[in-house]
Amino acid sequence: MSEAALRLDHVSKSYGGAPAVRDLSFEAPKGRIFGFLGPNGAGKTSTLRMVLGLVAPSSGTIEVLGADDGRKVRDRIGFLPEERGLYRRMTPAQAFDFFGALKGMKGGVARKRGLTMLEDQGLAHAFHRPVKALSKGMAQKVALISSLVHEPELVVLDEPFSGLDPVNQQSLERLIRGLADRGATVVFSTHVMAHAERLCDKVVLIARGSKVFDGTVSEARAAAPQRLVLEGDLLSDAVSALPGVERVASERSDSGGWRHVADLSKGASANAAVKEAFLRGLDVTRFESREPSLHDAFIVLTQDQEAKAQ
Amino acid sequence: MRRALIIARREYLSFLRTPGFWVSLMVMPLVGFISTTGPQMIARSEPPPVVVILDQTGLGPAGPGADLQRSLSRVDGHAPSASTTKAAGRPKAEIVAAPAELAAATTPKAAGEALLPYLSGRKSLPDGRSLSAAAIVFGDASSLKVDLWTPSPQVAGLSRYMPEPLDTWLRRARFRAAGLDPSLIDHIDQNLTDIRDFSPKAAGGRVSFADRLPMLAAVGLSFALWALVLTGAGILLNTVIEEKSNRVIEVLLSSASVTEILGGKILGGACLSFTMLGFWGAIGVFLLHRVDAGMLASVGAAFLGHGLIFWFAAFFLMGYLMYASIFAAVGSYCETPREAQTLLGPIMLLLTVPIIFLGAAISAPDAPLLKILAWVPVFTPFLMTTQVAAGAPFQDLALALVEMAVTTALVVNLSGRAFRSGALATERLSLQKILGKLFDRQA
Repeated sequence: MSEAALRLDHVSKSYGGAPAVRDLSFEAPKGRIFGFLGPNGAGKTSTLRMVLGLVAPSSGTIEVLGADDGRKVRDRIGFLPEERGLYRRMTPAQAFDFFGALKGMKGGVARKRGLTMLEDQGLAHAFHRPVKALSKGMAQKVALISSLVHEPELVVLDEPFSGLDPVNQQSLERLIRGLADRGATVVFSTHVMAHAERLCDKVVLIARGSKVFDGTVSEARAAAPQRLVLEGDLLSDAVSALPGVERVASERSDSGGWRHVADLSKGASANAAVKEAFLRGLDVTRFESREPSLHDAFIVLTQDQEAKAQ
Repeated sequence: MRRALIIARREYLSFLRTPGFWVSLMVMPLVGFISTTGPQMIARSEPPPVVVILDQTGLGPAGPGADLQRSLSRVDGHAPSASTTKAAGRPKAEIVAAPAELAAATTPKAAGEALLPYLSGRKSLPDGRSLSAAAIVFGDASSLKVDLWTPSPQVAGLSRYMPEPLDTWLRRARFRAAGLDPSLIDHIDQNLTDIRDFSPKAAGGRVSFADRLPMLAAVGLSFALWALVLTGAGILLNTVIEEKSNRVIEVLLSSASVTEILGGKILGGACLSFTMLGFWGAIGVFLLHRVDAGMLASVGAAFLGHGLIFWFAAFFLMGYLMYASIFAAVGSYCETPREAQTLLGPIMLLLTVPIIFLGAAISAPDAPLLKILAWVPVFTPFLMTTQVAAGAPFQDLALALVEMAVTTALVVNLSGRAFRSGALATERLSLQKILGKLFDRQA
């Protein structure tokens, strides 16, 4: 097992008696991309703030890059808040100088490195333009580069894809992969599962301040049921009677028949269900076995937590 | 410390580049220039009022009307006073001959009725100009009266110039009636009471303008401090609001401690304030040097006398630190200037108090209320310099400085806590919640 860049041990945080994070424990391995997932208000930002040392936990311990407080290693951490985190009147050149200097870099070095990273993103023309004149996607990349010019060992990104169009999201994903390739640990929070699915080696899912899952993306997917889609002139009762089918959701298809989406029970085989459908002579015109996505796992796991809370 | 200096440098340079800073820089000298020269300029640009004098005493050229005409037509030789609209080289009024129908009126009532078309704009004088005012003088030496008619109740400035010539005429008439020589009046009016001011605190005993200069300098410095606190702390407030609204504050907090951030911001704001103070001071020195080099030396001596400039620097430091940290803390709870206005209302009201008392300090520096207020920490930076100029004992000033230092340390500590919790707060907080967070150790 690789060494952890970040380790939380039974961490809780309350604000005025209201719990925001409850008994949270997990590890983020060094040099990997770690997804910190959860619905809005789950406690992701509170946790990241504790990791950075901006607020103290009410109980539990946090170890960041071997230190017991994020503030002690702040020069080795890069942080991008949920929104831009840039002065509107600053140019990217000034931003790289300023934020780099705060992390202990000499102005010229931070500026040069920032320019190189900006060139890699095809944004060199924006180097001397004020942030307020940049598009949201460009500004987000500038903000991210500002948090990376000092080449941090741990990069903490709070909802980095928020408000970006698909092209910019893809470009940002490439940038994040590049960070891990050079050995940095990336911890990012999001409630959009597609990014985590494509990027993360490991994810932690929290809901209502508590951890509901901790593992790899494929392990998370396994928590959600496999799905079988059947289309044709057949009724939902017939689909429900197939082996391994737990639930069925039906709707009229465009061709005039029915479209049934069946959740299979754990360990059940989609092949066996399809084979049985044909053996029973059901009028199936199209079938599809669908692997559960992280999004499916997210919904199942958070719904379980909601149900427990109620 | 390194991070604090980086933040201070950014604060300083970013505001130095904004038009708002240059506007603030120019506003103070401009206000000073307008307030000192404005009344003169208005008076100079306005022609003297056109006035008719109707003497109905029946005494002809020996009557009071002639004396009144001479007095109003006289050109004042002395420098204009800020409290009047008098201007050098300009008569108080232009006296014109009365049109025939006005001269023919024999009673004040008839003259008043005849004047109405002229004063309501329906009729003009023979030369085409409008009549500004008419003075109807009637009665005799035992009871002299003047009815002053003007187009509007607001135009009554001339009445203040009338008692002096008319009273002199009356005195002369009454002297004659009593069988005395009227020229005695001129003799008697010579060498009247000479009131001299003495004080043990004045150099050489007798009070001169040079002795009053330290208090004027102290009040001037206090006003400058007040303006700088408002400007510097206001700039700080706006920066923090901007940082809070675009989440830069979180990036800063992840890169530097609260002490470094607040310290850097306050230092940057202080440098801006000193830039302004230096600029205003340079303009003041330049103008004084041009107008009166001797006065410049006197002002310099006033700043150094009683260690005024050193005490000012000390109280400036404390006051600026105290108010800047309060403003920064308030800014950390706000995402828009409008939100800040609500929270700053009580502080702004508090800041008007020293301004009210500074004016009174010039004439009554030892007033008990002023002395008490100078010991209230929120007013001390503004009012204690007046006590320095008034010759307060060293131990009192030193004690006030200690009191100020303790208060400032407390306020800065609480503001730091408020800044941290405000910077990370996402919901809108009530004053009660803010105060609660100040004393929450886990915040």
